[in-house]
Formats: sequence, structure tokens, C-alpha cells
Amino acid sequence: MLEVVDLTVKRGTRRVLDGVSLSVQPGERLAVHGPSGCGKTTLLYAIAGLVDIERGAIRISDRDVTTTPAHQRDIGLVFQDNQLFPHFDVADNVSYSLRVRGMAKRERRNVAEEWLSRFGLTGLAHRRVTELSGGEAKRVALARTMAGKPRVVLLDEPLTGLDDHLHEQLLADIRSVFDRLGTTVVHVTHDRAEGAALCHRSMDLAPLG
Amino acid sequence: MTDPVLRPSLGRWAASVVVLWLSVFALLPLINITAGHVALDDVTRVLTQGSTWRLVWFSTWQAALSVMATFVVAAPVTWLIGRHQFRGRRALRAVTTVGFLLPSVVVATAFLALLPDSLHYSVLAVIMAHAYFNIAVIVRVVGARVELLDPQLSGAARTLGASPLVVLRTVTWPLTRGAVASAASVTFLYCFTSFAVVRVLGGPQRSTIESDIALRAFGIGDVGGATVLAFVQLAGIALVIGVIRLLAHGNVVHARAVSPVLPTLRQRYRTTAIAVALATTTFVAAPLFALLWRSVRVGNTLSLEAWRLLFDTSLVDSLWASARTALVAGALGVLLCILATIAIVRLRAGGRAIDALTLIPLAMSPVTLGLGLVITFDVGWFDWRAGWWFVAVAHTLVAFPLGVRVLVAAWRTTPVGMHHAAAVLGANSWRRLIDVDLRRLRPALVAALGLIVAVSLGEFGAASMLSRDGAETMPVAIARLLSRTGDEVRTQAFAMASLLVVVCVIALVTVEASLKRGEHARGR
Repeated sequence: MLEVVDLTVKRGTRRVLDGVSLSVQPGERLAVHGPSGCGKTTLLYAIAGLVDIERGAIRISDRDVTTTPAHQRDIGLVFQDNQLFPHFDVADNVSYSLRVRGMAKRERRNVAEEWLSRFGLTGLAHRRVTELSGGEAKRVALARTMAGKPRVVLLDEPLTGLDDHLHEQLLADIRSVFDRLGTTVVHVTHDRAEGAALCHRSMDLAPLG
Repeated sequence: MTDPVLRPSLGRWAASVVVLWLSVFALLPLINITAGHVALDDVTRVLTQGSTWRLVWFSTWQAALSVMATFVVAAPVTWLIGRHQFRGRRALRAVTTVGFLLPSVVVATAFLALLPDSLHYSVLAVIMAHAYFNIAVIVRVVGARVELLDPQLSGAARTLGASPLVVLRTVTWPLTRGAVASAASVTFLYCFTSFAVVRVLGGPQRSTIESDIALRAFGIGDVGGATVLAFVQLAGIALVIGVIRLLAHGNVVHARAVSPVLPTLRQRYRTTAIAVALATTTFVAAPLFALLWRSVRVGNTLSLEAWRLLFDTSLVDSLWASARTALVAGALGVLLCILATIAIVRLRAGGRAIDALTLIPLAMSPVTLGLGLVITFDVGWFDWRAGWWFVAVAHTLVAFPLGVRVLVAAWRTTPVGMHHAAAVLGANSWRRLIDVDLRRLRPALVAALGLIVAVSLGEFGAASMLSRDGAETMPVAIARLLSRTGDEVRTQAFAMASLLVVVCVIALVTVEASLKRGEHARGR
């Protein structure tokens, strides 16, 4: 279970988030909506430990991770612009979290192949990530996050910029993977239909005045 | 909102190592030669000697003439490359860079091989070699500015009735004079502090301040006088750097630049263009061919004896000394450049301070640096000068500012999001440093390594101060061979210089290829 209590984040002297609270049950998927600039991405970054918070607490499965470094939180984040490592091939990107945990190369290659196949990327293991299409890159980013089996997955507008066909197809694939694994998800999107299609419930983040 | 992934602790740790390194091997020697070896008597003695001001005067006027000669040689090819698109343009630009990338001793030796005996040990030879070196500065600095000039500006002036000459005077010159002044200042600086070229081509009766510092310190043991001269030179350098900054600042106000889509060379300029390209290529290639030719010629007969002797006599020790010095300097230099870069990119105000601090070895000439190191580390327990590795330390210092600049430029292209991605995937800060920064920037690291190795292979000023008999680096050995009489030893010098050309070209081609690969990998 993910629990965020009274979260406040400042940028300089300006408050970006002020007293935000939410809770997501294990296996539940929560969509977060809100206009541009209301702090949706900041909320995800704060949960992931990528920005310092001013006040509040973040708990995962009753463990307080508020001051835990990002790499020890066991939270996955799919970035809006993917942030694939251009100096690694597709398989190395997907298996990166396994590598930092010390898994043997052969074993993590097998895991990567498995995740690539789940996201319809079979045969692309050795491709350079700079040679991928937009849809392929997005799938690699999702596979990379899921391969580490994080306790919570954060999605930062993961389907933005894809054409309608690709959007629908990827949405179905993600939903199927999440359903099968019972993944706990916080999904930030400005697209209410997308949120409704993927998540069990939603919340609105109001902009600060 | 601070970024916990990029906390400055790693930067602070790296900064402390860099500050310690620079304090011990750059600042301490500088303070030591100032505080420990200069008496007021030395200052008055040196500053009231007529010979001092003759040195200053010679250093200044030969540098001024060298700047003019460089512009005469470089202006046509700068115009050709900067204003026109044509087949072979990149190759021609590469040709103009050759001189700048070669060790100064090699260039001086190549001109010795090319010029007739009557021109050896003449000011003309010195000036020609200086021009050879600095064509690249003019082409790169002025050419880049000319390239970015909006061609429509001169077109507008033409439609308003301006003749080509009036366009040049009223449009082109005002928009490029900042770059011209910058290039002239940089060229002046190189020629003002010239050492190897003056020592090899100027003959015993001509000295710049730089070569006199070496002579005083090691020829006649006047360390105090040498130190005062070092400060006179530092003052000159500071003055020139001040002028460069002033001119570069003034240049900002000038008109907008456009992306360089150059017009194809017009038919009527074809003959001129071919003549300019041929003349430039000949000027660059002739000394190198002369060097190679003279290395296989003893008297009037062709012979590979000099090449054989390179590997058969004590000269092979120089090859070995150069190789191990360059390798140690490369390894140590890359490590320190990485630390300095981490400090510069991770710390805000501290980063700017480290950035400025890394320039210290650049402001001290190699001879002054060598002098400082010898004085500081030549006593008691610190008799490090005896160790061959100490030359590598000096070379690391000389190349350090260049290596840092290469790495910082590449490092700053890493998006912060990539660190975030690695962090949420479980990588701690060391792992992120290795996987995100170092692996991604491998081409830049190879480039920095190649640059440091190339600088070390060709470095002469500090090495001539620090090298001891039997462990001389190749440039020092070349200069020693040239100071002796006889055809045979001179031919050996030519052979060794030819070998140095080949090694440096390999190192620099590696640098260029790595930088290109890096740009490609970063999607630029």
C-alpha cells in the first residue's frame, strides 16, 4: 500500500504542492488528473524520491520512506520522455535494475527477453535505443520499469504523443500486464478517458493560486 | 526544491582531491618561487638590466611580426573556408589544423629541415614556424565567425550601392573585428611565450623571456633572476588575457548570427580557390616532407641508418621515456580531469571556483611550471625530481586544463533525467557515476586521454627543466641532438621528429574520432 500524507514541496519560495494526501491499496491503480503546472509530475518525483520535500510523509507497505534515497525505495517510474540510456542497447536498458542488484548477465538477459516479449518487442534486444520508434521506445521504458518488479509503479503521462492506434494498443498491453501482476500504480495524465480506461479510481490535483 | 539525486557530496569530495592536487603541484611551487627565491636585490637587478628589456622587446616584436605573418598566410584560406562550400572543404580545414597539433619542437625541426642553411637561426625562420603553428587559430576563430555572418547583410549593403570594398569596410569588418582581435591576441600569446621554436630556430643569440628563464635557472643558476622574469612574463600574459576578455566581451553586441548554409563556390573564384588551397597545403606539407626526406639522407646519400640508430642506441631510452611518461600522464590526467569535472558540474559556486582554479597551469608557462616544481621538490625528502614519474606529473599539469574542458563540455550534455531514471531503477550514486556519466561519456574520456598523451609526447618546456640524462623525453632528445654538430646526429633528430609526428597524429586522430563518436552517441 502507498500512502502520501500532507505532502508539501517548494520550488524556491513558491509552493508547488501543498498538503497533498493520497492512498493507494495494493494492486489498485489511481489516476491523478489536473491542469498543466498543478504539480502532477512533482508529486510523482516526490514519491520516487527525486525531489526534496518540505513537509509530509510517504509510506509504502507501512514503511516510512520519506527520507529513503530514490534507489532504495523500490518504486518504478516511467518518465514522460522515457529517459532510456542511449549508451546501452534495448536489453541492457530493460535489465538495468537487475544488473544493479548483481544478477548474472545470462540470467538478466533471459529476464529482459521475457519482458520484451510481453511488450511485443521480441527481436529488438540488441537494437540501439536511438534507433527505436516512439512507440517502441515507450514500450522499452515500460518494460525496463516492470523488469525490476517494483512495489509501486508511477506513470508520468506515458502515452502522450502516440497516435490513436498506438495509444489504444499500448493502453491495452499495459492494462493486461498490470492486471496479471496486480501492480500498484499511480498514473498521472491530463486525459480523463485514458485514466478511466487504465485505473480503478481517480483524483484531481488542484493548481495552487 | 532541491534534487536529492544530484547531491553535491560527491562533488565536494572530488573538489577536495583536485584542490589538494593543484595546491601541491601548482600553487605551492608558484608560492615557493615567489616567496622563497626572490630577494628585492633580484627584482632591482633584473628590472634595471638593459638585457631584460631587450628580451621583453624581442619577445614582443617577434610576436607582433609573427601575428602579422600568420594573418598573411591564413587570411586567404580563412576567406575560402569561411565563405564558401566546396568539395574538399573539410579536408582543407583539417590540413590547416596540422601545425597547431604538432609538438613545437617537431615544427621547429621540420623548418630546420626545410629551410636552406642561410636561413637557419634567423628571425625569419622563427616567424615562419610561428605562422605555421597558428594558421589553425585564425581559421578556427575568425573562420567560425565569418561562417556565421548572414550573407543577406552584405547583399543588403550591395543593393544600397556599396562596392565590395565598402561592404568589407562597413559591414564585414565591424562584424568580424572582435574575432580577428581574439585570434590575434591568442596568436600573440603563443608567440610571446615561445620556447622550443626560438631555442631550435633562433640560435644562441636570440632569446624570448621564456627561453631566458630556462637559461638563467639551469644554465647559470640564477634562480632569483629567472623567477623575476617569470613574473614579468606572467604580467605580460595577464595583460594579453585582459585584452582578449575585453575584446570578446565587446564582440557580443554585434549582429545576429545565422546557421551556416554557405553558398557554393562561384565559377569565377575557382582558380583563386585552387591556388589558395594548393598554396596552403604546400605550406603545411612541405616542412613535414622535408623532415622525412632529411631523415633518410646523410650527406648526399640515401640511408635508413638514422632510423636504425633510433632503436639501436641510447635514443631508444628516449622513446621508452616518452612512452611511459605519456601513459602515466594520460592515466593520472584522466583521473584528475574526471574528479575536476565532477566538482565543476555538481557544485554551484564551488564548481565555478574549481573551474577557475583548473586554469592556473594554463596561466603559468611550462618553463615556469617546471622551474617551480624543480625548486620545490628538489630538496631533502622531497627530491622527487630524480624520479622519471615527476615529468609525468608536470605533463599532467600542463594538459590538465585542456582535458577538463573536453570532459566538462561533454558531461554537461547528460540530461538530469537520466540520473533520475537510474536512481529509480536502484542505482546508487557511485553506480550512477559509472553507468550514466562515465559509460555514456566514454568517447570524451578517450578524447581527453588522447589529448593528454599527445600533449605529453610533444611537451618541451617543463620536460627540458625536469628530464635528467638518460631519461630524456623525445622532444628534449631532439633538441639535444640538434644542439650538436654533424650530419649524422642531425639526421637522427629528423628521424626522431618524424616518428613523433606519426605518434602524435595517431593520438590526435583518436581524439577527433572519439569526439565525433561522442557527438553521434549523444544524438547531436
